[in-house]
Amino acid sequence: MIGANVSDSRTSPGPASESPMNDRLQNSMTAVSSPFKLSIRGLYKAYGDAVALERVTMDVLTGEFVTLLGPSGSGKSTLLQLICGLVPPSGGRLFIDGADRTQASAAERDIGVVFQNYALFPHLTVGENVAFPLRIRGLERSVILRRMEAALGMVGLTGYTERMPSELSGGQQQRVALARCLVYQPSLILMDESFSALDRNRRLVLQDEVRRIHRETGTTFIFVTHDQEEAMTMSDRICLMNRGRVEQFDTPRALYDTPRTVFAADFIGTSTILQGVVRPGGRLATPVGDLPLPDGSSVSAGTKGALVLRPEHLRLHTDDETGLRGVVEDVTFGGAEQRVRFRLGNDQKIVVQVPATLALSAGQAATVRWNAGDGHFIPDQEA
Amino acid sequence: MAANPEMAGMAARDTGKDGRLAGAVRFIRSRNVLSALPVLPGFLFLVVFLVIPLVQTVWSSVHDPAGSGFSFSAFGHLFAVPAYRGVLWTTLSVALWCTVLSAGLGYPVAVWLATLSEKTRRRALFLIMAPFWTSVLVRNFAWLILLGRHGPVAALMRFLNIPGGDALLFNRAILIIAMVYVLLPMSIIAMLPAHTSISRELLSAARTMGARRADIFWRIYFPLSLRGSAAAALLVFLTALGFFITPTLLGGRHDVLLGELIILQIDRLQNWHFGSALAVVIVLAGGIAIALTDWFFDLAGTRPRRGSGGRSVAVSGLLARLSVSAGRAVPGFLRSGGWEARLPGLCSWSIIVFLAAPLLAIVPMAFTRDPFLTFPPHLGTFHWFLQYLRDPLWISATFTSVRVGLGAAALSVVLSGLAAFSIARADGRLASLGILAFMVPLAVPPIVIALAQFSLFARFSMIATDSAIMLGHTLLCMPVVFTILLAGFRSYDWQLNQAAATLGARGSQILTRILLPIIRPVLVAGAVAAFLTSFDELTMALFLGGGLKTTLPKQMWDAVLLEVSPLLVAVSVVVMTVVTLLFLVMERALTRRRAGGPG
Ligand SMILES: Nc1ncnc2c1ncn2[C@@H]1O[C@H](COP(=O)(O)OP(=O)(O)O)[C@@H](O)[C@H]1O
Ligand SMILES: [Mg+2]
Repeated sequence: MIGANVSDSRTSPGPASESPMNDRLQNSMTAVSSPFKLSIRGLYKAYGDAVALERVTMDVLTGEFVTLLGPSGSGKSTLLQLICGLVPPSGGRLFIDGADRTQASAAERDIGVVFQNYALFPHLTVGENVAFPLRIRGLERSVILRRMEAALGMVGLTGYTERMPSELSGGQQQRVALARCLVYQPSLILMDESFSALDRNRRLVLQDEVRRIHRETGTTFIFVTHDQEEAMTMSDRICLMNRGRVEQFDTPRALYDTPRTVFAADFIGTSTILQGVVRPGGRLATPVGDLPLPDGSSVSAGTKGALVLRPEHLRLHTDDETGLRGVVEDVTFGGAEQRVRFRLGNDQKIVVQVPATLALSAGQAATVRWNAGDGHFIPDQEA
Repeated sequence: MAANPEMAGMAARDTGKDGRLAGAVRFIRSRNVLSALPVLPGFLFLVVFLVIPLVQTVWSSVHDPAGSGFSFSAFGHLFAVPAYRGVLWTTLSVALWCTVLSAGLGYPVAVWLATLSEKTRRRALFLIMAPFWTSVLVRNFAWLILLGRHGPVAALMRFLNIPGGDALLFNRAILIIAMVYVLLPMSIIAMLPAHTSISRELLSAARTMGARRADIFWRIYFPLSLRGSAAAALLVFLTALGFFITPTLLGGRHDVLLGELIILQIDRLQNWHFGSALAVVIVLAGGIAIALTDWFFDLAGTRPRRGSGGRSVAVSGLLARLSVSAGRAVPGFLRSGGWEARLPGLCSWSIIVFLAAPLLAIVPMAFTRDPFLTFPPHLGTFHWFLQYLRDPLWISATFTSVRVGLGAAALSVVLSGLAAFSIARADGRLASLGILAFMVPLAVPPIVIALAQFSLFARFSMIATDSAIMLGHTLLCMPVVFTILLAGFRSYDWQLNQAAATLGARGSQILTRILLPIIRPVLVAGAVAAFLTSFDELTMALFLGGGLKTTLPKQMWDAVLLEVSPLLVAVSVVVMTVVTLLFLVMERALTRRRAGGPG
């Protein structure tokens, strides 16, 4: 069911997404004819009775930067390990450049992986670490040296060849791990929560750098993070995961503007979610009153669902009686604007963004309004 | 303990006399010195019962008792007499063989154990630890019985018409096999941490980069496991140097080792001068082995290394290339089966069977109705157990062993416990030195320690007392207990004490309500390990015991020199049972702690 949800033609860009992919056809396809770097068909993983990852179907375009985003334990690492072949799947198939690679070993897939804890070989120097993939490929010494230095240059570590990994900072170790991946020029690079151990400044610098390397090399990246901000700034598309399932696979903008599940709306950005039932008149009956639905949402009466409101779409008025009435509970200063937690009747909280110039204090009565078109309605999915 | 950088700094700052005094007072007041205080009792014990006796031994080895003054005549004698030179050479070569075999056979087992999950590993380790804690004497008897002229192997060979069944014992080969049998579990246990500490992620990383199995093993795993494995091999070598039980019981007429020679010099000839010289030679050989191993493998891991990867890594790179090309020569159907991956498992199970089988095989013989050991035995009597229980000699020896064991356990837990308590929270060079100091007894063979302590105890007329044996055993137990307790204290969360203090607990309350309940299982495990070490120990009892009042191992030793009787097998079975039960207690204590509760 989730598979169908994700491979839905609306969310999968690319020409081939119109028709569901035929496995037998896929086998005979050559690498050139597939626009997809990676195609996953019903891949899943269970450890005994525990399902770590439910059936996933997705396609990643060649040269794309895709992020797997989700809370811890949502199955991101499991999906990554299935992709690179470190863990055998319990079922489903996996295609790289259109060829079925489900049974291929990790070594045969020609994928680069940057591990969360860097996984630098502690007994080898930085240079030897980076040269390792080339050395086991039996390349010529001079070629190894040249490519090793080029890879270290690309991550800004020229001159660090003779250092031991233990002598480097976390950020530098991360760069070495990345260089060790780049050096053998895999066409797909996977990174698992690579920056989560770094402090914020270093993380931002490395994010920029990875984006630059992505642009310069044209390599397809699949990046894992639990940090939505990181996912939003870096990715072409985000694969949002929850409890071993893919919630939504979309561009950052689409994920923010048109979340397809309550989880997605809640996880990405701040939002107020109001549950209710659609009235015959086209309004949503909620505990705080009947609310307008966005234009053009032709939902049939009786549908249950949630209205998602983003803070920046809401307006707070202290001098006007129309709109939802409530009390300011708490104001958080955020530079140019401030966030207000606003309590409606029935104790429903709603988060509103207002200009920093507006003077507000806790306990103040006010009303909140928004353009009906700015709201976003998510009908409940049948279980 | 006074060598402290902080102190040096203070002395440099406060140049005046008063200033220096104030500095000293401040230094003593600082927690640094106070927190080092608990180390002192154990440290003093080491000085009194190890360092001073060893110095004394060196002294008497270079002083001719007849004449006066310096003389290296004992060493000259050792190298001049061909028979003694032969003993020296035999000892070194047997110890080397044992080291190579124990390390070589232990390595795949450690590889295999490291691939298991924590829980499965503990179960598999049990099969290796159980023989490890079983008495060394019993483990040697087993071979004596199984390979003896009337043993099962000889009977089988007669049945199959294979000649030579009556000459299985008393040769170099069986000596080395039996010594490896004794040393192998120790080798595996000492090696294991080096293998389990290799992050599995490194191996995964290498796989994603396209590395083949041989590359991963030789270029990553092997170099990373090498240092710890070398340290384990060194421990085996040091232990093998002092062996005398196995060579005495199983060796051929020409397989005399240094340990036996020492016993001969002291026990029969009362030649302390020459005996001391032999002990010094053993210590020197051990010292050279330590230095060589450290030079090649950098045991402490402190030497900075740049570039090409050092001596051992260069060698393993070559091995990688060789084995990759060798791997290509292997027929495809074998390669696809992943037989290399299954090799460690196969080796390990063979070795586990090798370790358990001899011990299990002798158990039925304790129930024989025959007056002596023959094969096949006529089973079905508790006669020999009853005889053991009725014999006052055996029973008194058993009680002596229990008394000595309890004393040694209590004393070593207190001494090592206090030291581990304060070293666990320190780090830096001083702490490493402290750890090293408490490990030193492991590097000196018990026979050397026993010889060295003899003159100390003789001065206080303590020879042939339980106290002397107990103090000697305490020294041997200290490194074992220290290792267990240090790990325990290291895993203790010291913030709990601070948390308790903020909640209003006083120092004594923190101790009795927080620290002790949490650490108790480790203390129990340490005490049991000490008791087992003492309960099995023969050398000290042999040197320091003397007379009629002996320990159980000494009584068994005297008995086996006379005859390997069914009574002895029955006693062995009793010892095995006691040891296994205690070992289970220790394991339970340690696993329960891991499971997270004080229980
Ligand atoms: N080797 C394993 N054995 C059993 N369960 C596992 C294993 N690896 C992961 N899981 C389970 O699968 C789920 C997803 O884990 P994971 O993919 O690591 O999540 P994430 O990387 O998103 O934090 C978790 O519930 C985890 O407990
Ligand atoms: Mg993860």
